[in-house]
Amino acid sequence: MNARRLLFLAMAATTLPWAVHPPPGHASGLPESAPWGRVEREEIFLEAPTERVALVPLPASRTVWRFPGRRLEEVTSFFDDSVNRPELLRAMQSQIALQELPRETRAFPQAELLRALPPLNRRLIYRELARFDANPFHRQPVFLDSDDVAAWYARSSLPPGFLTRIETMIYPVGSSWAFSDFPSLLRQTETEAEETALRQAMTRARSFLLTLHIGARDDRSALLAYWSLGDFAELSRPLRETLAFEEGTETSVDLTHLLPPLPRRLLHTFPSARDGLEGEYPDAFWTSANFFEPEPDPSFRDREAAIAHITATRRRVEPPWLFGDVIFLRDPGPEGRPVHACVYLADDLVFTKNRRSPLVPWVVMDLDHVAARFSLLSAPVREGWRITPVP
Amino acid sequence: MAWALGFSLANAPAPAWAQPETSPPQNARRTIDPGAPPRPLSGVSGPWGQIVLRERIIEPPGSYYVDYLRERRWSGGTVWRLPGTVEEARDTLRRAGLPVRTIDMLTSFPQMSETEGACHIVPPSETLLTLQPRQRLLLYPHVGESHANDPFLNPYVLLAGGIPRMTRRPHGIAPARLALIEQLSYGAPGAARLFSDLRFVLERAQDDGERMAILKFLCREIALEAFLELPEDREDPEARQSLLDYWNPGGRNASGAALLAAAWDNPRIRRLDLVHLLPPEPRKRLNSYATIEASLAHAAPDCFSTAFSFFSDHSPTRFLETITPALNERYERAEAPWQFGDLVVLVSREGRWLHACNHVAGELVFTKNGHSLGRPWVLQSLDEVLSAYLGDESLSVYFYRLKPAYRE
Repeated sequence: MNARRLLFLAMAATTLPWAVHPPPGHASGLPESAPWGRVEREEIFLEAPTERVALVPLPASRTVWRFPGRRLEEVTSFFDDSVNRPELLRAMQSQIALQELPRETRAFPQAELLRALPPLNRRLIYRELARFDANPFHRQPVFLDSDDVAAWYARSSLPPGFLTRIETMIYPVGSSWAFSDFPSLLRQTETEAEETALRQAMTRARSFLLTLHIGARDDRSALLAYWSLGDFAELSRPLRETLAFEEGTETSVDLTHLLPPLPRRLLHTFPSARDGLEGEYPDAFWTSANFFEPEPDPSFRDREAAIAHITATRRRVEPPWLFGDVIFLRDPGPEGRPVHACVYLADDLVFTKNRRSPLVPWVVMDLDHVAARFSLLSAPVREGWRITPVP
Repeated sequence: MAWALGFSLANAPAPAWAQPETSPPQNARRTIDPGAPPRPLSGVSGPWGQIVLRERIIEPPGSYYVDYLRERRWSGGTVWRLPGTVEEARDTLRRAGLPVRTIDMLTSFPQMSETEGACHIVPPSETLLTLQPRQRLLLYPHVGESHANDPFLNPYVLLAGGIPRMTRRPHGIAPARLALIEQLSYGAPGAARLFSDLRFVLERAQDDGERMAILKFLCREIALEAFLELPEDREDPEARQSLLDYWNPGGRNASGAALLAAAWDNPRIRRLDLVHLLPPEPRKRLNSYATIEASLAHAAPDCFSTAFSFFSDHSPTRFLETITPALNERYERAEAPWQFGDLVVLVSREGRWLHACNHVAGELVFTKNGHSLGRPWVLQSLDEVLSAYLGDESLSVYFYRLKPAYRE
């Protein structure tokens, strides 16, 4: 074992290759009428059931930063480049232990340092850690799509006293905030019940209940055409047609009724054990490729098969996107593969399954916030695919 | 005329797989009249909270009938197929109350031909138009082709309240054709109104547009939209838990309960569409129609496969074949008060299971009224369902519940 205290050289970190945007506010409200009508959104929060959370082995409470394939000197050099304040550099030098192993270098930051890291420096370091599967909390952090952490965790299962710690340890990614220091929180728990509650709170996801309001003078046929997509939304047509017949009266409908059957079943749920019987839980590509299918096609569990189906049955389209468009998030670059897919609903809201994990539900989200989840290394390129009518 | 509808099991023989019990029912008897719309149900309140209801009428998508119209399956006139000899056919016509002169005419050339062990009768228009409802009721069960889509064997069941209620929504059918449907409908006094003379009416339609409208119109169904009103005061943990307990009996509806809890925690949400509180499979199906892809040969999703998969997140294909093993193993007779998801089974006086649906709350049930692809999954009042199935003087209603050991 080769462990020693780090020595740092002060380096400026002012030339960040990515931009940090403040998260937008997301007050509920009734926007002006648009092609999709007036869609009212009300936020709800979902947490994975405790029995599902219990499936995941409890990690150690000691934070480990792992750098597979990196020599110790490379790691210290990286730290040097990540810090631009001398006092922070000194703190890191005294509060991070290093261990060089044959295949990787590990860093063990002390809890005090973890709490003191400024958001931008944390972002820099964690961005590097996110390159490696060995750092699951950095590669797949907890995301908060609001700058009001207290509101995000209001009425949650988060044990008392943890809120402030989270507030001090989040870092910006795209239009959202990320949190990766779950192990350091775990250290503060005193009972198993508290551990479980904390783990459950870490699965917290926001979604929206959407209501379509139709005014007495709205052009119903145009509005309902937006939600119909010809035969592709055939199975949601019966109720939609009744709305068309109520000309001259104000009415409203929960948008769940206008979704095809499969997303209606999945929305606001976590994958069941049965969903994983094929060996893999459904992911974003399975979800998008099956959006209009009455029964899911199991072959779309293969990501490449799902992508091939989407690109074969749809055509590339530029914004503005419409209901039913599949939005690919691609790695930037000409050969960038899709890293995510979701389905556009309206008003920049999408139907999405953000990871294959059974701890991640199917939700309605702002597209910007979905994109943030795939912006840890670089902001993805958005690409729309519209279904091609069958001649 | 109103007919008594018994909830008591005292006079009903038990179905083969269900032994009768002597426990008292929650409601002794109720009387309904399918000739009139069920009493308006604006809401139900109880341990499930306060639910407000809005009535809509839905009909199948036009795509269900495109092939039927393109291939002109409606053309060729009405043919009654009576299996057996000419004498047996005459006997059937006689028992239906047709006059001897009419029987003679129908069983002679050119009206009748004999092929493949059956008599095929082409009734003249005048005969069809002048048949009395009771004659149709007695005759039509014997003149159809032996497949599920034959309107004589499986007639269209008109909504309780008949044509006046069905035309509350625009329909695109000429008044003359509506009057014809009314004239040709039939049923026992006080029972549901039936309609079988589809070809006769379609032949007289102006064009395929009107034919499509007629086909969809005959399958019109009441679909209740239901909303749970959440209280203004959300600070009472007991009230919250009580509500969650109702919608998640035995922990069988975890996703619905999770959504309810999430909505409860946002005080801005005052009204929650019940679609969110249903378990995954009924949530997927609500206000939609079965597809041929979901069928197994000729077995399409019906009321039984629907009712027995209420708490499933995937409806087992096995239930398209039989629900008997599940019933025998997993279910037991339910005691009042009824719980969310309880099986509600309609049983004829002969002990035949006519229909099954699921109790939701109060008078509200989740139901698929028939195995036809043209019948949707909807929320309806129990009286609405009973009106559709009351073809006899009375029927009985059983309640079943999953045993505590089972989630689905």
